[in-house]
Amino acid sequence: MQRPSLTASLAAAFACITLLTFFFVGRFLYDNLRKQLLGDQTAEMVLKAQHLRSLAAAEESAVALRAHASLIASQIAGNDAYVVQFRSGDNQALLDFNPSGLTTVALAAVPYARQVQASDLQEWRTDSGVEMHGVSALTQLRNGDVVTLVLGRSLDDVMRLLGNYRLTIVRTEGLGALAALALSYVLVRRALRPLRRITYEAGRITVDGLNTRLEQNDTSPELHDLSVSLNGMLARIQTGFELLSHYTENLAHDLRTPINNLRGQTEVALSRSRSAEDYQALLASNLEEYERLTRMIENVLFLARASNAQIALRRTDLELGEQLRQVAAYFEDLAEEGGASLKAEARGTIQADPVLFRRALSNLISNALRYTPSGGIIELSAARVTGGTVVSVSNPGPPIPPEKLGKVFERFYRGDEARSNSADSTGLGLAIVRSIMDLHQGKATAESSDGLTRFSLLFPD
Amino acid sequence: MRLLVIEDEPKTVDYLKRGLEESGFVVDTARTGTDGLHLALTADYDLVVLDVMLPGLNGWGVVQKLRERKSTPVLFLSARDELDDRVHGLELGGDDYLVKPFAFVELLARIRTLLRRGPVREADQLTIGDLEIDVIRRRVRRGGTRLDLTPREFSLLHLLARKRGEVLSRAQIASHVWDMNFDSDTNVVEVAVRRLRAKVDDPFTVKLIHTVRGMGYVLDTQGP
Repeated sequence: MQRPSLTASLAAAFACITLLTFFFVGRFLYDNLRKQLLGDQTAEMVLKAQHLRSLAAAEESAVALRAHASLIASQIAGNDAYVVQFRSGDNQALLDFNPSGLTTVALAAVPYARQVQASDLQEWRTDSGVEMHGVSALTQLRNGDVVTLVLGRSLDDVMRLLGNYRLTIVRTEGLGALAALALSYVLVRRALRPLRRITYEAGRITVDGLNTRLEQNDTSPELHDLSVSLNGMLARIQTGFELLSHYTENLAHDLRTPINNLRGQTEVALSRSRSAEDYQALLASNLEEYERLTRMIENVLFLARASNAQIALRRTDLELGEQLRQVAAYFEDLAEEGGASLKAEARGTIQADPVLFRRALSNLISNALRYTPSGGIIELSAARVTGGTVVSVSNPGPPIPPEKLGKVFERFYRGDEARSNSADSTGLGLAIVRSIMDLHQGKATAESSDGLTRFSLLFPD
Repeated sequence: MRLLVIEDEPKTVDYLKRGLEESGFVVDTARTGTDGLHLALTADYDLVVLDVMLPGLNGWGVVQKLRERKSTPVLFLSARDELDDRVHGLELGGDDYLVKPFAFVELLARIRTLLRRGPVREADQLTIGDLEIDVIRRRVRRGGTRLDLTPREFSLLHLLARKRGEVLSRAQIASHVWDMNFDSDTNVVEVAVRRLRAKVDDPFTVKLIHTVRGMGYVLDTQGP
């Protein structure tokens, strides 16, 4: 499934965040205003009730109260939202100012000895659905009669105001969120423009143009890092590719020598009639070249598979003393022929593939034999180091210059150019050693000083 | 012993037929999988040498169909040597797998191993001409004279004597005597054979160890 575009999802996320923020801010402002407005109303109601109560208390009797109706009415004059009623003790209406015909309900009255408080206010709805609040309070006239004051106020205007305010907030918020969506879409798109450029540039890099690099200075730090790391990857691929083509070139070159021998000697032999012995010698010589070719193919395939990690390791516990002695025994006669000798001294065990371990060790020894002068001793040893075991092969011989030490493990590298046609070396022996060590997550190193060359294999625990 | 070689490459067929016939086998050949399968099913062969890459029905197909009716041993030849290919070939019912290019003596050795039915009891005493090998006591005498061999020289001589008349390649010898199971580019085996000869052949007029140039070594009273 394809994921939605980064631009669209970022813009949508920004819009959602904006909307959410607006919602909470709007809600807070609205609640605040409502509290403020209702608080004002309540205070006014308490004041009015107190005032009306004191006006009534100044009257001699219910009759006098009725006579001063205009004084009472003036308290709410001009405001149709109010309703004021005075009732006698037997619930007879003494005064009733109710210009809007609002319905009142029976309220619990505040005793005449107590001041009216905000908490005495109660809310209700009229029959026509108008929201009201109001208070009822007893008042003692001067003659001792007790009348009931009922003061009410419609909250219709306040509610309408709040409703309009709410609508405005919702509309503004909606528009704001839409604007945020559009704006962030544009901004994100702009911000990601270098990414599209990188995509375009990367899309144009082909195998022939591995030296091309992405522009990395023209971008934000994040994309700069991306460009830098992509460029790093390109550089590594380029190096690998160059190595590979160099390798192929070398391989082709190395194939020429045996094929040239085969072709040349066969052509010469066929150019005239020869004795059976001559033909036999030719065929046998050809066979040697075929063997050389076969070995090269086998080595090249081994390296190719090792670098693709296609070779399955069969690790077992190897007793180093036994292994080293066994390989040394294999080379003993050969060393003796060249006047050299082998010495194997080791203890301990490692976890390694037995066939590959012997192969690595054999390659090191046959390399050492090539350079050891007559009378020299090739030493095989093993030592514990922190984190692993080092198996090393050292031989006296001409020193390897430091600049060449790093290259000896490269494919087809030959320390001695004059030997490059030597039939007993494919130039891959040490490269195979390194790839065997790579397979074991180990390391192959070489050092050379004071006429002693030492190759070491580190097998990690 | 009758063998069937199923292989499409003409040069390969020619030299396999010639080489195997000269080694004492009766050899029939087929150029396609279909022909080969037909022959293998109608005639009785002791062993089938089968190339994997064949036109029409390939080697895998041939062995699958063959196994439905017969259990003739099958030796695969292939230029592909990925582990998967080998495993696949053996799973389908092949008995062995040899990767091209191979040494002809290696092919002969594999064929002989497959044809040998049941385990062979190793002889305790081997006699070739005037050479006597006492395997238990690890002693060697020639013409009545005791030869003083190192353990490795003894192993090498024992191997050659056990395979009397068979040419052994250097790789086979390295694998049997030193347990070195990879093709090494050193001439360790030549040196070892030379040293063995110095003790076994040099003091005597009749030579027993013969070099087959380019192929390997053979031990017998007569040269190849």
